[in-house]
Amino acid sequence: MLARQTDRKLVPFWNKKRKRLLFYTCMMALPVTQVLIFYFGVNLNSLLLAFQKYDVNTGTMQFAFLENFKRVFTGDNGNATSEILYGIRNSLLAYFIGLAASLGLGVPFANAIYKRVPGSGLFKVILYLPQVLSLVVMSIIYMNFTEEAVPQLLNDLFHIKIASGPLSARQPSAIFAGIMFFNVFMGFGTNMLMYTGAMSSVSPSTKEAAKVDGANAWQEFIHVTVPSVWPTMCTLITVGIAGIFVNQLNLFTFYNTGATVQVSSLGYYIYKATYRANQAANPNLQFPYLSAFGIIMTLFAAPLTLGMRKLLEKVGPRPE
Amino acid sequence: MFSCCLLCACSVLPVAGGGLFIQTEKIDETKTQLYVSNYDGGVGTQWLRDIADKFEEKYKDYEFEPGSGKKGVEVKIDTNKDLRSDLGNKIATSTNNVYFGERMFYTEWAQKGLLLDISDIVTTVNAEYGETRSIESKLSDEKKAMLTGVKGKEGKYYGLPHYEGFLGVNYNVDVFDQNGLYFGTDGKLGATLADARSAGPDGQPNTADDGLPATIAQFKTLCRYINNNTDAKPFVWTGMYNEYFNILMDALVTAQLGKEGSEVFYNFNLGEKKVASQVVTGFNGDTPIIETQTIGETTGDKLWQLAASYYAADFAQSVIENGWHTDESVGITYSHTDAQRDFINGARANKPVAMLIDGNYWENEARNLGTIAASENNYNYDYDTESDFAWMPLPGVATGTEGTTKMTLKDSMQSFAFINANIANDENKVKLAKMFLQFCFTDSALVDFTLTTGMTRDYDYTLTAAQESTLGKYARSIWNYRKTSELVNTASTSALFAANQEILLNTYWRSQVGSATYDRPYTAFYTGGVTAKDFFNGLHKLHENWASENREYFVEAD
Repeated sequence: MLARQTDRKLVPFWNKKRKRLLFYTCMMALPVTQVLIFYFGVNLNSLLLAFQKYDVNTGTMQFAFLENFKRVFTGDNGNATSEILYGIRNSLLAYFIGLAASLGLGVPFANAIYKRVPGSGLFKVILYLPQVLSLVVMSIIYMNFTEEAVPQLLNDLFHIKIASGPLSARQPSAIFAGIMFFNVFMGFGTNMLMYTGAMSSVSPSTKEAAKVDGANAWQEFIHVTVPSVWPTMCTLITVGIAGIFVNQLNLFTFYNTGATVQVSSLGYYIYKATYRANQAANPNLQFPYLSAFGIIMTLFAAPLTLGMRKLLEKVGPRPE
Repeated sequence: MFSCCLLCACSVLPVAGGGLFIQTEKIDETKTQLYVSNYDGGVGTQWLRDIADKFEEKYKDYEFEPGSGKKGVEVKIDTNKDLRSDLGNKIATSTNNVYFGERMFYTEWAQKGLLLDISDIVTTVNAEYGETRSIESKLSDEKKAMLTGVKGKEGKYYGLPHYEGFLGVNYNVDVFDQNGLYFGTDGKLGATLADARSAGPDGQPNTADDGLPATIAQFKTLCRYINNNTDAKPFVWTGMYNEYFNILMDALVTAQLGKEGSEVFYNFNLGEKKVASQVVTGFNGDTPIIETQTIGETTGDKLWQLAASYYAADFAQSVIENGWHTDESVGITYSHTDAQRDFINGARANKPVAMLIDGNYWENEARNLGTIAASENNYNYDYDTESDFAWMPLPGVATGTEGTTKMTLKDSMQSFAFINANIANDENKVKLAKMFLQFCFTDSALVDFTLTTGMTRDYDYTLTAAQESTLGKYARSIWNYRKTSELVNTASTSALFAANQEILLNTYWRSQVGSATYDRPYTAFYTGGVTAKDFFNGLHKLHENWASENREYFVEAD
């Protein structure tokens, strides 16, 4: 056994501290390696790819400076800017609709469940069920329900013949409404879970104090409950900002790559473009452009997200 | 520390890929295994199983691994693991040795060294298999040039053409006959199979296409008549995969351009022979102004101004605008198998449909999935004797009353067979794989493939009259049209084509109309309400900078 000689006594090299350190190092080695490869490595590769382009003549990647970034704004060879503009519009619309539903309905619903009003158990099941089942399963159920079951029921029960459900409608607005209903419904349960969790952490003494001060249910909700869940609301608002740039609104699940451009989102655009590039003979022709697109989105998303977080930390009610 | 160990164990499991817990496939350890991947989407796997069984029987006592004690071969067919165009990312580490698939990028994968050199088995005659000629001698000159033209590896074969997939329109002969949907010699609808009919798209009387619409104008007349005067609906297609609607337009363009005109997409007139194209240079009201021009590399953007594309778009827009389709065709839950089912059931279900937009593999696919059997059970009939479906040659002329089109077919499936290069260091495996691949392309194997699947292969082989009579009616129509049609050569050595392959073939119909860019004509016409003229003009808008964007790929000045 190795030993170090000190002034006082021999200390074994593999002491308890070192053994513990070795154990934790070995345990952390795998996840750290995974992060290094699959997070830092992948993102670094993507960053480098954005400055390259594929030369068909030589079959190699070459330095392209800012050419790919320019293509994002000017569009070429079918990568039209207009689809991106629709994507921005719809992504923002989806965010604000989701936010309105979350804050306007989610918080009161969560409060009702928290207060255990009659029927709250049933609401819990209905709203949490989408979180339990696979998203693809829910999409298929929703698609078949709206496109086949509802038209059939309307025809059989009320003799109302409709051409199709919203997802197959001719009007983009109807399609978008159908998409948004599904997305809001699917996201509702997660938000409610967060809010009820936050409400559970409200101190009973605070509620008692409010009751003693003569606050009614509404006043308690506004002055006690909302300020208490405000940090959670801030988190969801902030995370939602980042989500604007990646949320594909489940369009790929419904339409694969065939959704009409008027309902496209930024997330769907890039997912679809990447999927198509991967199916092509030379994926490297498109990957650099898509990398540049992703970086540009990050340049917008990062300051927006951080800025919103800072703003929300400064404003907003306090339980005091 | 215990919880840390537990957490660590949990994170290791996914990394192990579950290999410890997934049951490995049972193999016969007295034999050598050959792993074959088959994409069975359209052709199924029966044809391969039949060949594999014969191969196993033939070599049941052969030692493919000398000294191992193993005799014979066990051919393991995998139908799902490695699929289509994704294969390029997976093949190097795949356990499959031989591949039969579609949507495969032969040239690109051969260049990357993913495919094994099989020149020896392609160029030699294997008398042991009863062959009197090599596989190479069965290939057309165009195919040989394509297969051996891989840059940096010229003169060598790295794969073989598998099957031919034609995308287009299929029609129900019974519906046409019962409703008098053929054009008579007077150019008017109302004729049946028993009546004298017009010459059809090929302009030749007494051929298989007699009575079918000879021009796109007649095609519109037919659809209008079906929709307004019969119980039938003109078209059915899958709404779930609305890119199928592109098939109709692509097929109309190919019919109008013919073989040489279609090949401009691939060669940009770089050869000695220059092919002129009809290009729309403007509109007089809604009437296109057409000029004859020679499209080259620097003017490649004019491929999005072809008159053929305008007329195809105009017809397609009419189909959507006038509702010349079943209601289900626009539903996103309506799959291609649903469309096949309704096409087959047709009049028996009181919902007759005249035409199906799908590939020539549709009947085989429907059979393999049990759709035909289900129809036979539900409606108590024998499909093979009491149904009549056929491939529909499309008009190659926009207006007038006579067709002047040599039938043209374009193989769109990029279907190949090859051997995985990752077995190159295993001599025994290479020998086995090559023997099997060569066995799959003997004269008898080519015939058996067509008899089993109803699909054709781009090789020089024939069916006897007796063999042809065993084909179903639909398969026979494909076989006959294949014999009399010209096949578009889809091979290209042009760097310009390679750099723009995606937009020339897969996203050709992307159009910018106003502020919207439509990926597919279906969404443009159905959801966007776009006119054919605006849609057509929008095709070119996305390629106005063609010359400046592709300068580096130009080989010669126009």
